[in-house]
Amino acid sequence: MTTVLQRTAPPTAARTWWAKTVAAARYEYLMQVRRPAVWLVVIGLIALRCASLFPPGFTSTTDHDTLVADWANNFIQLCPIGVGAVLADRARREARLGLDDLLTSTPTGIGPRLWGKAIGAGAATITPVAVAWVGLLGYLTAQRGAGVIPVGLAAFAAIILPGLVFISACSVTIPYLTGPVLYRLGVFGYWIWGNMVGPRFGIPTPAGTPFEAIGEYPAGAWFHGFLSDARERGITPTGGEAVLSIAFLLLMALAALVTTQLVLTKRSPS
Amino acid sequence: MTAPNVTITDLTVTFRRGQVRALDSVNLRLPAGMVGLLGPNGAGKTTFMRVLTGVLLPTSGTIAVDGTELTSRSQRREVKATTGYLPQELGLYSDLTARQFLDYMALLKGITGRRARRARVNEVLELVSLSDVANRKVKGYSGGMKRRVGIAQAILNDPRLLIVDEPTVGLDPEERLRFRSLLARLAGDRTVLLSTHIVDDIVQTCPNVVVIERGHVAFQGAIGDLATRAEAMVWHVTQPATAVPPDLPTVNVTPGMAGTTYRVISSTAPAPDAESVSATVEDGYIALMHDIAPERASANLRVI
Repeated sequence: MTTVLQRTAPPTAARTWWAKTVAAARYEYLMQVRRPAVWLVVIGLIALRCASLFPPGFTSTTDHDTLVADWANNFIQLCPIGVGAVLADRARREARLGLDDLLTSTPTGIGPRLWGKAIGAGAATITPVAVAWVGLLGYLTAQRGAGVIPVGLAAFAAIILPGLVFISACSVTIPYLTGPVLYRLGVFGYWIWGNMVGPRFGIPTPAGTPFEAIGEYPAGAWFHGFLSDARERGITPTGGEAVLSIAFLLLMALAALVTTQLVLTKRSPS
Repeated sequence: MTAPNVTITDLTVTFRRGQVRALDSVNLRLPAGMVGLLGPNGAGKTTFMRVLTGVLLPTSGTIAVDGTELTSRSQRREVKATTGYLPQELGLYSDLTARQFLDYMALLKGITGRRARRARVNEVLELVSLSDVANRKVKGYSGGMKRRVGIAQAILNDPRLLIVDEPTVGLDPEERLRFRSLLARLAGDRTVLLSTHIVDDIVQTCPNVVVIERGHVAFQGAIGDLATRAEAMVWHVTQPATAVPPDLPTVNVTPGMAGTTYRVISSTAPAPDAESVSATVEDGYIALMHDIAPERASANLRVI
C-alpha cells in the first residue's frame, strides 16, 4: 500500500437506471450461469422427460411444425420446475451473504438490482434450456434440413420461453415472501396442478386453458402440435387464444416484478 | 474537495416499538480528518453508522451533510453519492473476482462511463495493493484481502465522508497496521469516521474521538482530552499473585517477580503503597465507561 489515491477528474456522475440494470443483469448472469446445479438440474429434467417422448411416434412426422412443437412440449413439461428450484435462492441472496447494508449504502435503489437479477439470473437459468434446444435443432437440421431452424426458433420463442419467463419472474420475487424451500415445494405443486392435472381429474385447474404455462395454446394454434388438456376441454386453440396465453404469462411476470419492486422500495430506505 | 459539514441533531433510534433505545438524542458535529468512534459492544456505534449512511432510518432527529438532510429518498441518494461505507459485517459476491465486484459497485455508485469506471477500479485496486490478484475470485481471498476489497469499494466514488465500521477485526497485526496507515492517508481532505473498540487503533490515527455508551455521546473531543479525563486517577497496585484482585476498574494486569501489578482507575489512592501513574487514552476511556470521570459530555451541540 504505497500509492496514494490520485484524484484526477471526478468520476462520471450520470446515473442512468438502464446502465445499472444492465450491469446488475450482467453480473447476476455470470454468477448464476457458473453454478453447476443450474446445468445439472435443468438439463437433467429435460433428459428425464425426453427419455420417454410423448406423444409416441411424433419424431417420424414429416411436418416440421408438428415436429418442433412436440419436441418443445417435451422440453417444457418438467424443466420449469428445475428453473424455479435453482432460481429460488437468488431472492434473499444478498441478505444471506451480508451484502444488504453495502448495497443499500449506494445511491442506487432496489429497482435496477431487482430487474437486473430477474433478467440476468433468469437468462442464465434459461441458458441450459436454450443450449439443449440449439443442440436439438442441430440434430434435426442434420436429419431434415435447414428448414427446421426458423420453425424451431419460433417454437422456442412461442412455446417454451413464455412459461420460463413467467416461472423465472416468480422465482426471483415470491421467495422474498416465502423463502426458497417453501417456494420450491410450491413451484413443484403448482406446475403439476396447473399444467399437468387436467380436467379429467375433476379438480379446478388452469391446465388446458389459456392460463396454463406449458405452451399448449401456441403449440396447437401455430404449430399443429399435440393437444392434451385443451382437447379434453374440447378446445382447439386459435391464434388469438395463443396470443392471450403468452400475454397472460408475460403480464403475470411483469406484475410479479413490479409488485415486488414497489414492496421492497417501500421497505428500503434507499 | 473539502470535508463535508456533518451535523447530527437530536438523533434517536429505537427498536422493538420503542422498547430498545439504540441511540438517544445524539448531538454531534463531525470535524474533518480522522474521527474515532469508541464504545463497548452494543453501545450503538453500528446503529449510528448505519443511520449516517442512510441504511437505517432514524426514529427522530436529523442528520445533515452540508445542509442536505437525510429525510427524503432523493436527499439520501444525493448524500450517498459522496459517502463511502465499509460495514462491520462485510459480505462480498464470492463468485466474482475483485475487479468484477468493484466494477459492479462502481456502477451502483453512479460511475456509468466504462472508461472512467475501469480507470477508477484500477486506481483503487492499486491503492489497496490488490492489483496482482484482482482477477482471482474473492472466495480465495484471506480475511485481510477481503477487508481491502471492502475499503476499495468504499472509496470508489471518491467519498467526502468515509465511514468504516470495525475494519481491523480479525486482521493480523501487520495487516492491521497497513489498514490503519491506509485510512490515515485517505483522511487527508475528507472526514473518515472509524468505529472500533480497539483503543490503540484510534490513538494511532485519530486526532478526534467520540465515545458512545448506551446510545448516548459520553465524550467528544480531542483524543488527548480523553486521556486527561483520567489524570490523577490511574494507579499501579502491586500485590501477591494469590491475593484477591482489587475491586476497581482495571486497565491491565502485569504478572511480575514481586507480585501482580494491576493498573486501576480510582479517584482516591486504592492502597497505601499504590503508585500514581500518568493517564493514557485507554485509562480515560475505561474511566469514562465506569462513570469515574468528573463529568459526562454535554448533550448540547458543539464542535469537537
